[in-house]
Amino acid sequence: MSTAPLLSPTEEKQEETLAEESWVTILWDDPVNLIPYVIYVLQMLFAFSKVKATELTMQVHRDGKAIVAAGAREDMENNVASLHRYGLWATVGRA
Amino acid sequence: MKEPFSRDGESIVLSLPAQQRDVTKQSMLLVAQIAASGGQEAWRLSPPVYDDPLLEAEEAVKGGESGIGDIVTRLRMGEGMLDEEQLSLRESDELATLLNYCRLVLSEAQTSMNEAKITPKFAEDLYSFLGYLLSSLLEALSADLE
Repeated sequence: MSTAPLLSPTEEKQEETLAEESWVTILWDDPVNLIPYVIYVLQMLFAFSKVKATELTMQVHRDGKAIVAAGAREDMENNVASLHRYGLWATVGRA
Repeated sequence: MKEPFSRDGESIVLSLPAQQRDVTKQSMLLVAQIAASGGQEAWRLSPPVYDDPLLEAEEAVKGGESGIGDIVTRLRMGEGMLDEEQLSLRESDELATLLNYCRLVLSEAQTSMNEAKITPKFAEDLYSFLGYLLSSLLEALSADLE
């Protein structure tokens, strides 16, 4: 017995794209890393402006964490590896 | 008092007195030793990739390297940077990272010592001193970042 596909090819592609982009890079607060250091690292790694890097750093400081990037899982793993290389505490999470 | 690090175009000038250079070098070697021995104090140098325990377990199964060996090598090489009078911006970025590694490990060591009710004054002083150095280096490095 054949059944109609649940999703059209276009919809399947959209779902795949969505799944690929459903990951985030989370930067966590910690009591050791200096605020200017976190701002510097975000500028170096993500080419954020000083204003944007400062906003995100203060969000981490205030809320305990901030999402600094979203996208495909592999890209987020690479981001986290880069942040870890600088000694920042970051993880990959689902969006 | 002269800043330990200052910007000179595309270079960073080191103006650290000999004693401060020695203390910093010894700190790097000590942290390299702790990391190489697999000390718990060094966990922040290789934190988990996922906050979800299941995904982290999956990551562990993939067998990704912890990177500690690489960090130990970098700390040992970084010690030599402190003998230079000038560093490139790339080298200075690496030095800032290594100073931060030292603070991360020292902070964990202090926590362990606090739990054991022993907090040597020198550990606190060293942690503060490394923070002072890192701040000065960051100021010089960030001079042209907008």
